Amino acid sequence: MKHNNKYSEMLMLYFFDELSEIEINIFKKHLSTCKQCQTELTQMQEMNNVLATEPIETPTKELIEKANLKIMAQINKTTKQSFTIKLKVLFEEFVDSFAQLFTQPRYQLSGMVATMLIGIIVGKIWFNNDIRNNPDMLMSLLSNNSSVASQNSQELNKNLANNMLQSGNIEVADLLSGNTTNKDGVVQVSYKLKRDFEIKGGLDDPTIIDMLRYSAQHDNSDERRMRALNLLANTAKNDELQITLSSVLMHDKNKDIRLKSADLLKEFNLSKKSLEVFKSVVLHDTCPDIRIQAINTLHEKGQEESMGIIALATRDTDKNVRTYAKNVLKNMNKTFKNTEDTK
Amino acid sequence: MEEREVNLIKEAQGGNQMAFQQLINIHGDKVMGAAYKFTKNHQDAEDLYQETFLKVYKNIQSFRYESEFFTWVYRILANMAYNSFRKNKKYQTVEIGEESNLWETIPASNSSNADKYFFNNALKDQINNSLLDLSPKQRTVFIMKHFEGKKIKDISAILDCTEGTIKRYLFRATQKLRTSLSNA
Repeated sequence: MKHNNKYSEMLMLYFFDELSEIEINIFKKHLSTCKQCQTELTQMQEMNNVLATEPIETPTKELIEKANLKIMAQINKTTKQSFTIKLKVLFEEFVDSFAQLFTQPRYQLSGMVATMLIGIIVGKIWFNNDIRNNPDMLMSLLSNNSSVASQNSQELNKNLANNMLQSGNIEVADLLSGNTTNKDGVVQVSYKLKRDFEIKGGLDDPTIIDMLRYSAQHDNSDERRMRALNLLANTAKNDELQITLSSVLMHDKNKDIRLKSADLLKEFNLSKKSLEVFKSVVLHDTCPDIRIQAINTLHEKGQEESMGIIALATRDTDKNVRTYAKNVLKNMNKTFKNTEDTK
Repeated sequence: MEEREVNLIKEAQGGNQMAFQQLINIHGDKVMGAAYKFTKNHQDAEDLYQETFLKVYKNIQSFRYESEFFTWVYRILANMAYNSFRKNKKYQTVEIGEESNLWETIPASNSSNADKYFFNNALKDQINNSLLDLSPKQRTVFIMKHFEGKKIKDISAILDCTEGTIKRYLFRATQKLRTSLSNA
């Protein structure tokens, strides 16, 4: 009978007395004709002989007693151990059994998958929380990672812009061209920080409004400041916008922008501070048209206390302003007289 | 299992250290003998023995009376031996002196008269070195089969492997040892 691996295994099982009676008969039949199995069996018997020459070592009673005393002493010591030490031992045992588990091939793949999943989850949590509140990380991410989805990128840009506004880092910004409005009323504003940013959103978006208010006051370009005012004209008329427009009216170096601002303020229910701005403009603005516009606004708002300022404007250096102020003052006097007569 | 042993285990599970001490007194010599067969070294055997019983004490609550108590202890011992092979754990070599007298050496029955008195140390080293050449699994399986006389089925249960896997380890171990020891 030809020798093969099956008979090699049978030889080993025969040698270790692990074959059934039927298997023994089959193997013996093969063994009688197979020289290789005969040689291997002889070698195994020789091996057995060598191993059998080893003397048998048996522990004495005294050794067992000594070892048992050591064990009991160790158990007593462990029982008295502090909680921290017990915890440490427990942790070491856990790590050891965990490591042992992953040495088995069937668990290695699942171990790798588990590690990857943990990495993804941790990464996702980190990405969703910390990075959004850290302008430097955002800046770095947006500069280097082109794979961020455009929707995420827009959201991150907005978060960055909010952070810049809150932290005062907005000074480094500059409004770039853009400010275009499409059919849906979506405004696109571009800013220069360390790199170009694009922020898209409607005129009801607080971030967009904040950026426009900043542009109206601080942009270097007259054209862009004017564009920002035009866009702000379509936003909600609130106190913050009134303050911005008053500031522009007081400080902008371009008369057209100041005029536009004064024009926009007419639509507001003016606060005391804004009225003070208008009074100041009547007395100090360099542009006669703006002074006239301011006189007109003070007249329209019908404040009696504005009459003193308008009276001063009747001595304005500009003839047109003087004439306009006199007419307004005359009208105001008439109005007040009629009111008193009625009373 | 004898009733006395069952009672001792139950008491040990309840935290009675004296009961546990009696249990290790009952099984100590068999466990120490087996530990020596795994380690082939007095000191290593004593360390393995202690570590085994400390683990038995820690885990005695998990003994469910589904096997003999000794079989359960032996399973812990075999797995600890395998782990020490895997980690290549080396204990301090014991100096031949007072401690070695605590072991009794019985010459093998098939040895010649000369061998009975002077076991060939060179041959002993050769056997140990040949065993060390085996992988941890091969060595553990071979020792359990050849020196302990366990059945393949029992080994597979103790080491939590299939019988086919155990046969494969045993086959490779035997092939290696046959080559290295047949001419010794």
